[in-house]
Amino acid sequence: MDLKDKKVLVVGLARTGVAAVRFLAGRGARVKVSDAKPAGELGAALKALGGLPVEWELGGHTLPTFLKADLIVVSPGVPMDVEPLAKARAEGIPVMSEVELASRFLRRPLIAITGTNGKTTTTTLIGEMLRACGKSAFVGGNIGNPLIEYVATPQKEEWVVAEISSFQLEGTLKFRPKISALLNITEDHLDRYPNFQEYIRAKGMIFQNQDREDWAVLNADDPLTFQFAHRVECQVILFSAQRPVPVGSFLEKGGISFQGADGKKTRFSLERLKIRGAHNLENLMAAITACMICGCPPEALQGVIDEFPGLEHRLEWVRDMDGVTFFNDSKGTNVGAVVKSLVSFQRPILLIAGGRDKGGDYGPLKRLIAERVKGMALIGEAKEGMDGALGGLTETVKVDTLEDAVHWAFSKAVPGDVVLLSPACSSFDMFENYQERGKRFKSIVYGLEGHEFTGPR
Amino acid sequence: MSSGRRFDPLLLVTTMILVSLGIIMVYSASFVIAGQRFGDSYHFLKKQAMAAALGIGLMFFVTKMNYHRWQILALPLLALSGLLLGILILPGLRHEIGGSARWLRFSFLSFQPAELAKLALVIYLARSLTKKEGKMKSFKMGFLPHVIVLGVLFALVLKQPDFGTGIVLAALVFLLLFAAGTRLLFLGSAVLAAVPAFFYLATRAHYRMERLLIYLNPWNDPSNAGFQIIQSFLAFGAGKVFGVGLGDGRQKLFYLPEVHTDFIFSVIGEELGLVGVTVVIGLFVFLIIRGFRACYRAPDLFGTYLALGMTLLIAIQTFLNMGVVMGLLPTKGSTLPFISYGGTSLMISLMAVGILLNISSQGGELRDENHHRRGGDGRASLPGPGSHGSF
Repeated sequence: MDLKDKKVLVVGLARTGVAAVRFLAGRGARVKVSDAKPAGELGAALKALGGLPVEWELGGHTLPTFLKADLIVVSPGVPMDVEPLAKARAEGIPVMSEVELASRFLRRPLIAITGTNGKTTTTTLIGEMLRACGKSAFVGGNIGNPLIEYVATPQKEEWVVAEISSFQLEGTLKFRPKISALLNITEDHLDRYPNFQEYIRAKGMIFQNQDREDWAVLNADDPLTFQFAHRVECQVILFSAQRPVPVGSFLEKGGISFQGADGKKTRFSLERLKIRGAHNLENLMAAITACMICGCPPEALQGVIDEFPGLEHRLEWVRDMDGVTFFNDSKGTNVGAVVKSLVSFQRPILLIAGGRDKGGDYGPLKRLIAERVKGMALIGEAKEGMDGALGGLTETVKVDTLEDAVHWAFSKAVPGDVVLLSPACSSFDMFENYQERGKRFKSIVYGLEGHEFTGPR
Repeated sequence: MSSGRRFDPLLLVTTMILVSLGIIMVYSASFVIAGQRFGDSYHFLKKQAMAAALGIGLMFFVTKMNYHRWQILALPLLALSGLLLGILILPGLRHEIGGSARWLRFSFLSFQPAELAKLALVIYLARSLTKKEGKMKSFKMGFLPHVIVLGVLFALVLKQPDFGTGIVLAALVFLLLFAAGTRLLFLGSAVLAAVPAFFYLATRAHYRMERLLIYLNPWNDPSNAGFQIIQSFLAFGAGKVFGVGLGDGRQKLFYLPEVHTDFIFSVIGEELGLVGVTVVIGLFVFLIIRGFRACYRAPDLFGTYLALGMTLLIAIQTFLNMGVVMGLLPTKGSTLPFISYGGTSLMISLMAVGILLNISSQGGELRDENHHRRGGDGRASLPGPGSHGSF
């Protein structure tokens, strides 16, 4: 695809748009940017593009701009059916998403992961597993670095692993992963899609160009997902938490089994697994399945299964100390997220919660706290309110700092217990953001020394 | 061979096509599972081909056997079926597969007595209805004995439990009684009386109610009870007009326990498409028409009832199976004659064809109306249009 002197319009700036502009300018295209936001709100993006010969149309889209372009590249944030895009398409002007543009220049086999939930964990896991096997891999897409940024590099890696959202899949034409994984489909993003069928259709676009040499990894437990097994051209391989599958990964005798097309079975142990929750087992099976297709040796995969701490701040394993395990779930800023985290543990929990109240109802936590939480340390502005709502259900203390909370929890813990930071509140009363809160928590935990330490009460 | 006439060649050819197609489809549906479970992807193919060879042998034997001899065998066969079904559910001998006890095992051979019971019931009915010609209006003579026999067999198969076979047996009895001219009042009251019993049975075994409800909307429980029927829908959908190609179906990516037995029709839909499905339905319709032809031309009343019963046996099972697989009827175990994997079912179906062939070889040209026997109220011993009009 030759971009030299082509008039290319980039719609929507943000991070991906910036990367696309850079790439296009680097290929000698005459780039124009159109963004609905005024210049004032795009400060950082404009600064990042300073010095590049780019034309601007900010604060709204005009039709002539769209109709004059040779090619239109759309950022993930922009709906594909807005009027100027529809008109341009009607005029025969090619309209593509950023991943479609990138895929035209991609020279490495692509593993693309999509689904409503678990994309990031699975993408990260596959990256880790490939690296553990001694294969180099670029990991990005919807997370981290956009694909378009990668194709501007020399592309020395053996594999490209990309998280792809359904927004990015719209506006793909020739996008063709070597291995695609569709993890699950639930009713999310209905704000953007006119109906659920449209959303399912968008997800299915990941398979549209795959042929018999390619693979689709599908969740056999989710009918909206496994229906694609009957529709795709490529080879299908399944994973299931509910039943054995002839070819693919499934749960068996407390571990994960992978069965190849040759009937050979490989077993993976979950004894040292650090990540929590049923959804993470599905992510893990999807990752194992993809990596077994890539020809990874099972021992290397087992190493990643044993060590992978999870995504930072999302039920992230931090440390084992005197038989007590610490998890950082700083991103659990609402009640629903904390419910999910609490059900992930069969062991007694010492919970650290609190921060700035988001105005939610703490009711859904009551039963879980009564059943599973051995002690609770509350911090931040919300501590009085949370104490009132939940304090009577378990031993509860109100402390002033995160340090005090961690020390109190550790002093109460016996071997086999879990210390969990899962605040159910935002962090802004005491921290810059949830990341800083999580990092602070981890550094306190790393600083703990032996069980003789008893924190201030 | 009184007339020395040739048996119906079209009936034979249609049967052989269906059996061959069955063997191919059983292989296509089962080779992945067979390869992994037995280390031999031909496992089910071999067993089905052996059963077919044996069944075809039996069919030719039966074709050569004067069908009047079945009159003598009727009661012993019925008694044998009852005995075997009884053995099956004896606590000490119960051998369960998937929650039901349907097979008798003798070392390497296994046998499904319920299949024999279907055949024996038809022969018994043909004999009994012939003997009671003219008394069919009587409740005590024409109705009660047959319903009692049905009741015993029904109770025995239900004990396995095998609700599907029970439905087939009941349908056979009612349709044959109807053809023989029983008072509609008896049949109607029996059906009405069966409604509460049916409801009780459906609600008592929780999986049965589950199946009943799930067929209305399988997507309510897609990971459990609805899984198989959803797969079946997807398979038909994927097959479109010409199918995805023999052996290329995607149902074998899942362990679907019944895909080469009860759900084989969905594999045909998937791999051979609407065209394949239409051809198979066409073959069955043709076979059933030839069966009715044998019935119509039979030299005597016993031959008429026997041919009608054998034809209905195939027709009812075909209709039930296709209905279940296409989601028009609640899910329950029933095989597609000639095609589904299962030796006993295949051999019994082939024997039924053998009997039809023998009757056809003894039949004359279309007889005039006077010669043709009728029930007392003028209902002919011919099938009503509804018997096969459902296709």
